Amino acid sequence: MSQPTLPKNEPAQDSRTTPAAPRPGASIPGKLHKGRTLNLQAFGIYMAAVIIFLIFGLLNPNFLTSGNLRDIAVSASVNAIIGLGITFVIITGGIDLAVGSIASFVGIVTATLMVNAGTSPFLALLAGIALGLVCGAINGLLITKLKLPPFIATLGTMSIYQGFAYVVTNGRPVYNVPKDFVFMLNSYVGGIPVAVILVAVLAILCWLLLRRTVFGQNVIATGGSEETAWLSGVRVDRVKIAVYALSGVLAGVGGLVIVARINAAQTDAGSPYLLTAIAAAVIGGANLMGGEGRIAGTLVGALILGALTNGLVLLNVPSFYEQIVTGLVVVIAVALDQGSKGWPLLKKRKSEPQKEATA
Amino acid sequence: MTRIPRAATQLFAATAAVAMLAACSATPDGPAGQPSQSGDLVSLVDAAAKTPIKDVKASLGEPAAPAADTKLCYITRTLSNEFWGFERDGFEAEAKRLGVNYQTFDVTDESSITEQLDKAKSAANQGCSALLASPISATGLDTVFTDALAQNVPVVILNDAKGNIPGSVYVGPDALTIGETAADYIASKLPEGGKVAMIEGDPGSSNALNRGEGFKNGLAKHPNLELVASQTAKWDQTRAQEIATAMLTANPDIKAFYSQNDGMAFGVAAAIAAKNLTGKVVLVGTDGIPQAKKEIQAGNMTATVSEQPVTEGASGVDAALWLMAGKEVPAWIDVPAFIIDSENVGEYPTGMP
Repeated sequence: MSQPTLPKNEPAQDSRTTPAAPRPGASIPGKLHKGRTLNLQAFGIYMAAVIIFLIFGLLNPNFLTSGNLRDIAVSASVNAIIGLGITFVIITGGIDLAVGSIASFVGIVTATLMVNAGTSPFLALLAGIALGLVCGAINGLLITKLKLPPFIATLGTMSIYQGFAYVVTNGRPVYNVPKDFVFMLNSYVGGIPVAVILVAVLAILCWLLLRRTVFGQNVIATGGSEETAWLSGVRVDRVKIAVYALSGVLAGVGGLVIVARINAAQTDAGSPYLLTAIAAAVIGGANLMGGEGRIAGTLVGALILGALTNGLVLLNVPSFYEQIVTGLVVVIAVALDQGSKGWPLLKKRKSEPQKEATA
Repeated sequence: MTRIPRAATQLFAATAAVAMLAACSATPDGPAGQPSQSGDLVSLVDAAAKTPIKDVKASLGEPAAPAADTKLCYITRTLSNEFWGFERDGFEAEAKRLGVNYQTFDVTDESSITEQLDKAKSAANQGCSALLASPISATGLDTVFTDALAQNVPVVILNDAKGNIPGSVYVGPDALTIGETAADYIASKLPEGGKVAMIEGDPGSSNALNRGEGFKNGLAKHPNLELVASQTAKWDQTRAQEIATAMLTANPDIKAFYSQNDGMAFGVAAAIAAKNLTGKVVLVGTDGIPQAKKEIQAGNMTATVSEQPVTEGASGVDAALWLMAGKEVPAWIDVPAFIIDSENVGEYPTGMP
């Protein structure tokens, strides 16, 4: 792939306002070409998305119909919502394995409140979001106050929250979810699905939070170098707790969308979203080493996953192969990410990797 | 740092605002402009009727050959469970026999509830003359079914997850009867009574719930049988083995196990063998997959309550074609489960009925 000249680089400014210095490993290979720096992957992922959509469109005439594109957007919505939270967590250098369980837990509690306790759908929705916040904050507390590695802490709570989800209804699904609730999250406003509008609003909010607030800068600084951030006066613990709480809230919202989509709360409905939401964030350029992640990238990652599932179905590809293709896309996306900062093959022609995320 | 809470509250406020906005102005049914008049399909389905497949076939006969562009879509579950493979085989074989186009859509695993919904929508978008489906969650595909019926596309649900959408046809056994059949069979093998244990499937699945309830109902008819332990192994063989081992340690005098599927029964068989109790403890599985018949022949399992997935898949095709030809079909086409034990196992050498 021939690379230079991509003008999508306005956040170069951002990186200068970031209080902490970039990670030690950040400024390694190649020379700096001011003004024409390139994030190969940021470019690559959008190109990949366009190519994937075009290929499916050529292979199946139904793929690019508005109805089908709308279905893809809806099917990507839960991954996108949960993936937004994961993106923040990954930027701090952490990981949240509990998101699937939180989605299930919030879904089952909210549905139980509405169906068995007669709570109004709106109050139940708020209660569900609050529960997600608490679950996420507990993750953050375990990680900061008990100094548990994020992987371990959320591995534990993943199991704990899933267990609670089973306990709430003794494992039974909750049916007969009130229609008002379903309309709130799974209906259409002017032909546009509410879930998609919700994703758009949440994504804009997340982008503002990450790019236009001190908090966002602190998140990036924490992921860049925790020590440097701390020395520069960032209260790293608070940042982390807030980030996991945010991830919990978004996982909860994802769980509520699932409930509205299937008209029922299943005790393990959220579990498939753990890995796909992480995959969406990673395809979109979030770096598990911390410091990097893009809101728009995560959305595109979720859309690519949705398009793959949908397109391969239209082409009648059995789901076993679909998993192979999905895995390949993740590997290729991350390989491109690595390539953008010093793959041996690309090294000679390398330009300075863009540390900052282009959202 | 005061900005964190402020940002968070803003996020909340906005989320809440969106939710309220949606609640106020949303249109109830699907994308705007879609016709939602329910066709005459609903009137063809006799909501109260539950008729055995033999009787339905006898009265309606061979389905008429449909138009050449007819395409049947079957949204199944994961094909890594061979049971759904047999269901699909029945569907595809019958469609082929009758010269109808068909397509099967499968999903990753048993928890892929929304993936199944997305695939059902993709299938419907492509244009299906009839939708056949085995929903993972009882209500998971309801929106797709409602849309299909509104466009006069027949909806046939195969095995498990019998829905309550008017106009949909269910083809499959009664999961309550399956559990009850197992209880009655155990009672016939233990005339003097004794302690009984059950290994349950995933607590969220309707099959597990109904088989369990049916089994308990069945035991209630035989007061000398006592259910001393009942635990979920979530359809997992290894977990079933661990649970059964623990149950036998706690209650060494358990006389019979009922496992809600055959895979878990293999785990129980291993646990029983480890305690040198093979042949002394009655072990009844469910489903009747080929390996279960081998275990019955080898004496490791006593019996299995066999379903008829191939018959179901084929009958689903027939039901769809009957409806498309304007024939009246019962809402429940019963494909009953039956006991396979050492006496009749020879009649089913390969595959599933």
